[in-house]
Amino acid sequence: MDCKEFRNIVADLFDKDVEPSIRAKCEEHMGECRACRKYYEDMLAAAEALRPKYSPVAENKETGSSLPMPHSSLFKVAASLVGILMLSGIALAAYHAKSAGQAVIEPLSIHAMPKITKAEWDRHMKLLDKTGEPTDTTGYGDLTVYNDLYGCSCSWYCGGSVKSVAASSHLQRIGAFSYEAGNAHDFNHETVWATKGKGIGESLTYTFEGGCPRITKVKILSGHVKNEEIWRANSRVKRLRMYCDGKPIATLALQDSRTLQTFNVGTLGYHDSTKPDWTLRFEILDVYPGTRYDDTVIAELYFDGIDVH
Amino acid sequence: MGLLTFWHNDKAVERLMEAERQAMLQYACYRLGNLDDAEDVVQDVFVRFYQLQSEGGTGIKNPSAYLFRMLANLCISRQREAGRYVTVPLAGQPEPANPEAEDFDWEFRRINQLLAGIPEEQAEVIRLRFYGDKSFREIANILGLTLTTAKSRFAYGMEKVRRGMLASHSV
Repeated sequence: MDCKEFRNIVADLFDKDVEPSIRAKCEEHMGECRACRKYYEDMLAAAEALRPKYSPVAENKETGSSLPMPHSSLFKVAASLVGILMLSGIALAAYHAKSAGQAVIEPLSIHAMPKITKAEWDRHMKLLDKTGEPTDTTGYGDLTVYNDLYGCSCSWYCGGSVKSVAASSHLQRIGAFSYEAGNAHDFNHETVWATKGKGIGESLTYTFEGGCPRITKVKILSGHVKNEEIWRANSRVKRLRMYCDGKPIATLALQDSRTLQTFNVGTLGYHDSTKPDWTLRFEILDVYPGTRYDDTVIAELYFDGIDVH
Repeated sequence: MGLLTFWHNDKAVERLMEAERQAMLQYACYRLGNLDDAEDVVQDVFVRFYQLQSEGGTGIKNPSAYLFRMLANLCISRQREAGRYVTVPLAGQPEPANPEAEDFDWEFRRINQLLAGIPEEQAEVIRLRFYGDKSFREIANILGLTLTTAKSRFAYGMEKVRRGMLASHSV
């Protein structure tokens, strides 16, 4: 794919369901072309600016209240539609009894996994430390994920921390491989949390202290991202409902790609040590099925935020 | 038999309403600027749709697209009736006094300001994508466009929004 072709189909990446082949082609091109990656990220920023974040429809759902009957419309047509409304009464009652949905958040940015392994990255960094000279990174792909997980730059974690991570279930240990909740927050993309069973309804709960700096972004490596084959073999998260202190606040819509997906979730937390501990729970609503295994996998789910530097 | 047929239709309409309701409310909210008006106009659409169904059906091939087309038209009518078709200055974005003050009203103004700088036909595709939660194929059905046209209107619109944002950041 060249740049012209990329720009002709980049809109497809903003469709409701993106064809995996188109996504793969675009990601491959963006891994090699900084200008197109920047173009796509600017488009993502524009999309993010346009997406609803304070929708009163979503608020209505959160409070669990049913919608009031809009009287003016009913009165306006009541005289001519009495019979119809009698028959449709059941439907209208059902319509008003169920509350509205929540805000659906799509990724703010997406970064493909590097084309080199963690071991190769370590060798690259050792060489860099030893010589102080940047090595040729041609063919390494986009290194953002490794820089984010293993680099030495500042982040929310300079001041922020997670008190504990717990899961509703996890796959039983197989030999040396464990699949416990902590693996989703150990800054090692090669270890994972895997659900027991298909994963729908299973959840990860992160607990924070009241004084913890506030969170604004959630970063997710969905699936067993260590390599392409194992990533396809296991199920990946499609939709993740996010609860703050037990209250649903948003649904994260993940793309089915072996990438780091960053979601802007608003400002969460207190940054006030007089406040109690608080929690974020992530419940799996839907998955992209694996080709060989039923269990759903999250390699990393971590955070970015404010109040640190 | 007639009543039985109507009952089956009624259940189908109920399912359709349930499926479309939230997206329609959200779309209407971001067209009209408040939940009360949005609820009112969505209710109007449903009542009119019931009326059409009770009259023996209308040969509507794609009820979901039909609902949204009706909704979009009613929203425009409401805005015109109220004399408040959204117009905003092209330069500058409304910034809240502090980030905590951000709310739906602020967001509605900001989004309308971003969309005011692009042709309405492109803005409508963007609205249906982000507020109506429709795919490009569904948008093409709603607006009576080809899939390629729907995508290109989205792309051109987003490109203009992107340029507008970059320009405002570079000022």
